[in-house]
Amino acid sequence: MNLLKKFTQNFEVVFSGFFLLITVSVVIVNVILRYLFHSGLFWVEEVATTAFIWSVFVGAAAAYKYKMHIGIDIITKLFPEKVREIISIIINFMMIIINSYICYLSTLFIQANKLKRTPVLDIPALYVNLAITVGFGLMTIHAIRFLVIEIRLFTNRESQKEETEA
Amino acid sequence: GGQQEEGTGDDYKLVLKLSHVFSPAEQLTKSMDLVAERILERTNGAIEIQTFPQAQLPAYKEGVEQVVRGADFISVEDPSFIGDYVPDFKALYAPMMYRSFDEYVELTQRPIVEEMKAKAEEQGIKILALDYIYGFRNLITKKVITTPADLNGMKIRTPGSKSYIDTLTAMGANATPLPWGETLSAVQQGVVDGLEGSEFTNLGTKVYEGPTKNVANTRHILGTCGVYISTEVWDRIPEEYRSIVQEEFTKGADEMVSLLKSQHGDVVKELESYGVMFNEVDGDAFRKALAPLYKEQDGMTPGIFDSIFAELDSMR
Amino acid sequence: MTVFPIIIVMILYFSSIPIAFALIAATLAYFTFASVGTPPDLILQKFITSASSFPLLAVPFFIMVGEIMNYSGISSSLMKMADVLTGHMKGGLAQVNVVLSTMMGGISGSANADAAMQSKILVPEMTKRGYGKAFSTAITAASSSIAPVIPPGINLIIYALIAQASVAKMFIGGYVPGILMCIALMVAVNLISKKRGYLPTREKMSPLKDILVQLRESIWALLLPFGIILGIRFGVFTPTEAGAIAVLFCTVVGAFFYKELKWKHFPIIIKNTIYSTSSVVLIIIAASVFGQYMSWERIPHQLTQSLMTFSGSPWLMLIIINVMLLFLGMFLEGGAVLIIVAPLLVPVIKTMGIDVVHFGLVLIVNIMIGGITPPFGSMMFTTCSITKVSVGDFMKEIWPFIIALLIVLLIVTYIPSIVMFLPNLL
Ligand code: NA
Ligand code: NA
Repeated sequence: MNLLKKFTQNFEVVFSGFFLLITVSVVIVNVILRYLFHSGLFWVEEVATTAFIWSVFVGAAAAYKYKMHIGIDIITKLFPEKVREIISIIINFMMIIINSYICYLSTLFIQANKLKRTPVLDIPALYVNLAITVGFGLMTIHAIRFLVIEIRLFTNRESQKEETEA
Repeated sequence: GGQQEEGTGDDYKLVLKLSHVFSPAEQLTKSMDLVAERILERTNGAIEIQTFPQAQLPAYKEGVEQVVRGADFISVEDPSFIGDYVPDFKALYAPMMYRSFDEYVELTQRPIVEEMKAKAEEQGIKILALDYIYGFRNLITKKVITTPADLNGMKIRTPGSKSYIDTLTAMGANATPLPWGETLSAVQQGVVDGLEGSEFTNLGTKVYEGPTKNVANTRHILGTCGVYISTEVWDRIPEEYRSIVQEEFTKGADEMVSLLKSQHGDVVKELESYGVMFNEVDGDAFRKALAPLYKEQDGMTPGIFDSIFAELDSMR
Repeated sequence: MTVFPIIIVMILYFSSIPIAFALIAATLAYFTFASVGTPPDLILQKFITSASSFPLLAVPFFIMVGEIMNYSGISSSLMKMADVLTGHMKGGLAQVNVVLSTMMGGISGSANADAAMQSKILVPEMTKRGYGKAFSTAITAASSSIAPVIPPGINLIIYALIAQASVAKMFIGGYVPGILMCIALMVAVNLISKKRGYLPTREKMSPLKDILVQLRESIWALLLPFGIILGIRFGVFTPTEAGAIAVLFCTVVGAFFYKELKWKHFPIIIKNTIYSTSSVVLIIIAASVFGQYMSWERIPHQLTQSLMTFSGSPWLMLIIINVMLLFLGMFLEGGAVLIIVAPLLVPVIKTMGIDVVHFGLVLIVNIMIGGITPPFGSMMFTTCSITKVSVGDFMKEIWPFIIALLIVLLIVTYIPSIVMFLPNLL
């Protein structure tokens, strides 16, 4: 269990980092080949952008896990703590809906057009589109986890209050 | 779909979104706007086609995908994109098939292409036109090119699409895919030794100002757009309006081809006045080099290339 | 015209949901519930097409460069060089702060990265030497607005793509506004320092010998911006590829010349790059997904029509645009504003005969000023959250710098010959 947890904790960053390094490397290699041998690799652009798509969508899940996505809390900060906690729970609930809906749409999207292929490598578009399913699927899981944690914290605190009041 | 009300008579209204990648200054944009206007007028506002240039809405493969999925959408794209759904279209747009615009226009009216259109309908794509032609693509390079050997070691910019890359590679060049936005500076600065494009592109984007003053008339790719709508959407349109839509798209294509022919001579003259030099090429040598691309691929009708060549020979 | 997605965005936005998800949620609601005549899952096309743009790769590349620089000794070497050049001026370290951002601008294009880095490195140093903390934070935020204007910059590339303008012209065009911003801020620092008695770090200008010694030490760091510009100019690589080459260059210099970059730094560099890249690029994707709703509803088209009523007077038109952009820049990340606004405005200004390159520079300077303007500027958030200065204190210190930058904006907007001199040479 612990090992599994450790793996899933770093999985997204390792995965995303791997694809980021592919992106950087193929572009560098292409410049060098073109400069030295006057001939670049025609598939570099598509490989670089496809790897980047995977890096971004999986990386977005990693960033979400550590709450790195930027939002504006200037209004919500004005409310008392209890209201803020409720807002936070509602937001987590909405994040579950948004992310799982995208994940669901991506399965429709992939199924509906199996014939589509990528422009340069001429491989099935599935290999690119699946990044959406994986990225937003992972974010759905994190959102569920956050919701559970926050509800538990909230109810614990409420019952504690009741105890101290009683 | 949602913005239409079913039924016939005066209350019928359908809004279609037409998407393409051309810029407002180009003839295709003007043609599409004109066709949309005429259809709106002739159907008394029942069929409203909203035009979206410059890929504001899904374009290229994504535009065709909208059509296949039954959206209220008209995609105006290179017909080779239909090749994903009906592989025979890849054969129709293989490089160096046509020597003149007329050959191509006539071929699209023959049974062989009619059959291909029928196959496209089975995939949900109703083809309203195939001949919004905007010119042949020729090689625009620093040095004179007459044979495939002349292209040896030359970096030629292409769009980032497999068919272009394969074509230029077979012709003997080092195909270098670059986004159009980076192309002119890449030519200026020598990242590439040339590009390929029509005389209209050459003039319109001032390619002639750079170091690439030679145009080899390879006519290796026919620049043309088709017009596609979902068969599902098409079948819902009342018959009277369908015939108007079809007529106007056909008429628009005819007008664009005649305009193109009349303008091309002037464009060549203007380019020549800027020091651009045109030359013919050894067509047979290039076709021989391109032979591997005339090979049947998965899903194509057996003997499709021979059939197309036979049709073309019958015209020559 | 369906406007409910805009309302949804506003509500979600202020309920502190991450910006990217607010934009995506509103668009999904539109394509699912508004009877738009296309299956809702097809909006995912835009997730892929907007992310699979080669020029967009400049974002991760230059973010990674910024990360590597911090661990490779290049940042500190550049800081020493800036100190040698400006340490004798009134408010020496504040001047260093401005010049360093300008030099960094020649390498990376991210204002937020620049603001974050200097909030960590420079602000503590400044407060130690008697500068006010809010003042130090304000000048750090203000000068970070220079980095995206000086080439290479992601915003310059993004605009060139949208407006179909030459990337090379946008790049060379960025120098004049960027340097004007630098001069304006240095003058403002000088005036404030005189009043408050902020002392120079040294009495006289550094002797030529010291400058040359430091130049020799910093030569590798300084080679980077020059190498990028020359490499692009002489066709060795394209502007996007320059980012990847810069990653390689910084790694080699850091590991073999300054010998500060070690293997152990790589996991943290990659991790930070991924966090920044993913969150920034997800906003870019979300903005273009939201843009798809706007196109579908023909909002750009309608906005263009209504702006056309001012087309008789380019002067008035530019003022309206300036004010609108300052306002938007206060709310949204600079890149996102650019992506949403540029496609709407470029067709309008083209019909009015305003040069697209000139307009692009106006747009970018404008948005960057929005980014430091309270109450919502994004660089303000970045600096304040690192230095722990309250927004109220920040407001008291930032206004002279905003005025200085607004003067530059007026010059850039209304005297096109000054900014267009360099691009017109191309
Ligand atoms: Na600074
Ligand atoms: Na920059």
